[in-house]
Amino acid sequence: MALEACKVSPQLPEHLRDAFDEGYLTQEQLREFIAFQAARLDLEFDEAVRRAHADTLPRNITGDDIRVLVSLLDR
Amino acid sequence: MTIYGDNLRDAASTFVHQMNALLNKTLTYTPLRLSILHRTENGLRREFALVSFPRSGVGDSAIELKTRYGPMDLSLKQTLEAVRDENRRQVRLRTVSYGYTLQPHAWDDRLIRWEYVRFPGEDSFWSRHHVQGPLEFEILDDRDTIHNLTLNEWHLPTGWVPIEEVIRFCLHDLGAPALTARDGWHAALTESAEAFRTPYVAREDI
Repeated sequence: MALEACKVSPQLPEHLRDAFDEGYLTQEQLREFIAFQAARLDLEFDEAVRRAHADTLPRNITGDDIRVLVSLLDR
Repeated sequence: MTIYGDNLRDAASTFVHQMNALLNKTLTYTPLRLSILHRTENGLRREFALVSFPRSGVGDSAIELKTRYGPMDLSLKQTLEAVRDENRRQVRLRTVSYGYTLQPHAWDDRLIRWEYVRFPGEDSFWSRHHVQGPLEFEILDDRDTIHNLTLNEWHLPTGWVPIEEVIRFCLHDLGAPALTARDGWHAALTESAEAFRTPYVAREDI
C-alpha cells in the first residue's frame, strides 16, 4: 500500500502572530500576511492581488480573507 | 446607538466589546479581535480597523460550529473606519465592509456569504448588500429553456444584515449549540439588534 504524502500546513510566522496579538499591522506586515495566505492557495502575492481585484480568487474562506486584506493595501 | 470614540481604536474597541459580550451569551466564547491598519490612498493616509476572529496557527480566522449538517467554519469580518463628527470632538465608527461566511468542512466552497461593500469600484453596479453561495436553482423561461444558476451568479439584495441575525441563523436554522437556553439567546439577540438598529447604524452610513 502506497503511503500518501502528508501535507503539513505552514505556520503563521511568529512576528505576524505577535502583530495580530498587538492589534496593529504595518503595510509591510499586511503584504507579508497576504503572501502567506496566497501561498496556502498556491498563488504568488502579485497573482493573488490581481485575482482579488478581478474577484476570481478561490471561493473559500481563505480567498475571502485575501480579498479583504488586499482592499487594505496602499494604492 | 452610534459608536463614538476618541479615535478609531477606541471606537472600534467599543464595538468589539459589545459584539463579544453578545457572542459570549449566544454562540462562542472565542472573542473577535481588532487590528488597526494604515493605508495610503492617493497620497492620503487612512486608518482602518479589521475585526475578525483570532488568527489560528495557520492563519485562518474562523470558528468551528457543530451544526446539524456537520461541522462548519463561521467567519465574521468587518472593516471599520472613523468619521470625524462635526458636532463632537470624537469620531464616529462606520462600517466599510462586512463579510459573514459559512463553509462546511467537507466543501471547497462557502455555503453562504453575506457581504456589504461601502465603496465598490466605479464599474460595480451590483447591490452593495447581498448574499451569495453555490446554491443551485433552475428557471424555466417562456421558450422552455432551462437556465441552471447558482446564487453565486447573482448579488441577491439583502439590506443591512446585522451580525445578530447571522448568529440567530446559526443557532436556529443550523442547530449550532447555544451557550444559553433559547429564551436567553433570543433575548440577547433581540436586545442587541434593537440597540444597534436605532441610532447605531445611521442611514447615511449604509
